[in-house]
Amino acid sequence: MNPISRSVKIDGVAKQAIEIGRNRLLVAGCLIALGFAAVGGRVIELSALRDHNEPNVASSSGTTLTTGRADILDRNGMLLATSLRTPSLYGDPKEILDADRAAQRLVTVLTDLNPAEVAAQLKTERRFVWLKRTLTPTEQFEVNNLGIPGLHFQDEWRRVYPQGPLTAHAIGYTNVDGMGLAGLEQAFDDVLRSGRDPLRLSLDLRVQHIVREELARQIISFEGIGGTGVVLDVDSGETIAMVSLPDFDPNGSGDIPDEAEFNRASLGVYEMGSTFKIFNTAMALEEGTTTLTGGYDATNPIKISRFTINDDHPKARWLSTPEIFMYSSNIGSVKMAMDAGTEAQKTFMGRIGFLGKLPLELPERGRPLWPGTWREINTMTIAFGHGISVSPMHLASGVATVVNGGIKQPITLLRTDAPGPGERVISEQTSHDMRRLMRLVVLGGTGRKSAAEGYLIGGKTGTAEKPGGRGGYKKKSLISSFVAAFPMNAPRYVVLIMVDEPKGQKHSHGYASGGWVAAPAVKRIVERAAPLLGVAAVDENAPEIRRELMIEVPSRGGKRNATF
Amino acid sequence: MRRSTIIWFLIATCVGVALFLLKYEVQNKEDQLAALHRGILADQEAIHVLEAEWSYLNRPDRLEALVRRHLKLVPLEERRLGALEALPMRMPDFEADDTTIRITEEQLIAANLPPLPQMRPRHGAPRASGGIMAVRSAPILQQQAPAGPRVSAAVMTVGMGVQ
Repeated sequence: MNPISRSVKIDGVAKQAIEIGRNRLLVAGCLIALGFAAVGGRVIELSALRDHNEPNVASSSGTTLTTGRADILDRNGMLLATSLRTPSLYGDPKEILDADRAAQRLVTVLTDLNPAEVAAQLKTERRFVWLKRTLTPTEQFEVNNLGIPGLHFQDEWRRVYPQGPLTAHAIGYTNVDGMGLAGLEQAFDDVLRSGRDPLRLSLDLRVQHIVREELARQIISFEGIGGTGVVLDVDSGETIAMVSLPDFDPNGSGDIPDEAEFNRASLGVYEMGSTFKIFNTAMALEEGTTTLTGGYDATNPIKISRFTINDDHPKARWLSTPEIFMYSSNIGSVKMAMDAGTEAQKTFMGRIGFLGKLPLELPERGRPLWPGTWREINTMTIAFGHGISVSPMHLASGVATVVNGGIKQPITLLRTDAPGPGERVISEQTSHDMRRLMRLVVLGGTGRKSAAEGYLIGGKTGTAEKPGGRGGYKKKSLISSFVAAFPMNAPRYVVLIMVDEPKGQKHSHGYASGGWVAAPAVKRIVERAAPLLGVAAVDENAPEIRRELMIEVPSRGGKRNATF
Repeated sequence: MRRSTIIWFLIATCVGVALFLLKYEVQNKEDQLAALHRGILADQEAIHVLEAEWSYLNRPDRLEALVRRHLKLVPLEERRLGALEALPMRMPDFEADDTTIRITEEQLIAANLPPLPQMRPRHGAPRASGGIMAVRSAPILQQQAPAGPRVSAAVMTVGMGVQ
């Protein structure tokens, strides 16, 4: 064959078609090559160049337990509230073969259920009915043992309070769905739900227990209807103990009686009585209208409109300022307040925080009651603690301010390692004077029963009559309290004990006053708690301590010297 | 051409097998990891329950009842505490000479200790050697020595300071 004849020459339309096909092939080939190059490049990039983006260790996500609600701890890390996984029993009525028989058998194990109710629930048309929430492991085992088809378990987180009623009022409780209904559980509901870190409180469980025990002992011994006990850190404003009796067990599923749920320490407001003379005297000294060497004539009762203001332990003579405080003279206190004036009293009460709610974290905070128009008669009664109602936490916080050098620290239930600077309310000198006066009450006045050897307690008793029906006062219904601080040369803690409606007893010679009811409890609390709080007993007769707390009790007109 | 095809085929087979094995290896490791995570979670939950139980068993009223029943501890009294400075000076060396060491009543009061039981004075007792001195001072030493540990033990236990 001829080589030339073998080569086919294509012309015209055919040649054009082949050219187009060839071009298209080339373009497609290029595109595919590009695609492969991209894939190859990406493979190299991922495997060789970008490998440092891959974590070297397996991720640890999902290895931390989430309970849905954070724990609550005391200041030493003791567990106060936690969530535990517990099974809850539910039924699927569609799967139940014989509802009546299933109910009959179920109540043999879960004896607190009502067979008729269970049977009715199991006959409904739904696919899910709760039969019992939060079973114990034993109950779960027994229900499983029955082998009833259609009964299932679902794990739920249940709030558990291992310490029971000890911190009930501070912590509060949650409902069955884990929603905070009272106390800190309610105040920090969002924080506890979202956070994993436990909430650390300022409460010290051991001191809390001591206060609760001693308070309960006094309430029983004096047939009181309730009471409250508070321990505050003077400098940081931390609440070391806060007890309100009667209390309740937050673990209990039953209804809590109102009387037990009521937080007397922060929600209840009371006319505190003579303990207010601490603030009355501090105000008068701060204003400069009264000095420690001055005094007032307390011979005759004060008559104003239809009231007569008299002393409980009348001395019927001129009394110096320390004596007025020591013997808790109403007449002297009223004259002291009148000298300072109504405006000064109102300003002082406002600055110390008695005219507003406390800055405490609890939702249960009482609003103080004070006269809308502050008249002269109000000034007179407020001088000895009537006509103004504050919560016991208010009182303890005010005393902390008076004794710690005059700085008001907002009180808190959370542990604070670095407290803020606070706000100055009274001068260092007035605070020192008040410390010496409060020490005098324990050494020779109405608070002698609180003298715990070596701890330099200083305080003030209060015995107030509860307001009765028609604007009067009930002679037999008392609020007996004692508020103290220790050690008085450099106060670290404030202790307040208040008993509601104590009755005079044989062993107290018929008295139910603050000095008889509350002071001995404070003494025992300090003796037991001071070693735990790191306060060492000192020699009360050491010269530097005597010098620090020495106070002169002047007398006049040849009357006898105050001796103790 | 044929040889290279065989080589490529072999390589592809080897890579395929290796990939297959690797995949199962990784799957195994994943399973192991998940099991470990489950184990850690279970342990954490068990610890959580035990913490709650620990707190429950450490209720101060329960501890107090247990201490009262099983231990001979009493609440700490103020007079049992003393400062280190209140202790008398250290005894000089008895062997050196016959210096008489006497703890005076004042020193005892300063040290916050109860007075010593007084020995009946014995006339004519040998006073030459230091041995008598040691006997004389022994009660004081015995009195002081246990005071430290006993007091601190009392502070710790009576305080229910179990954390």
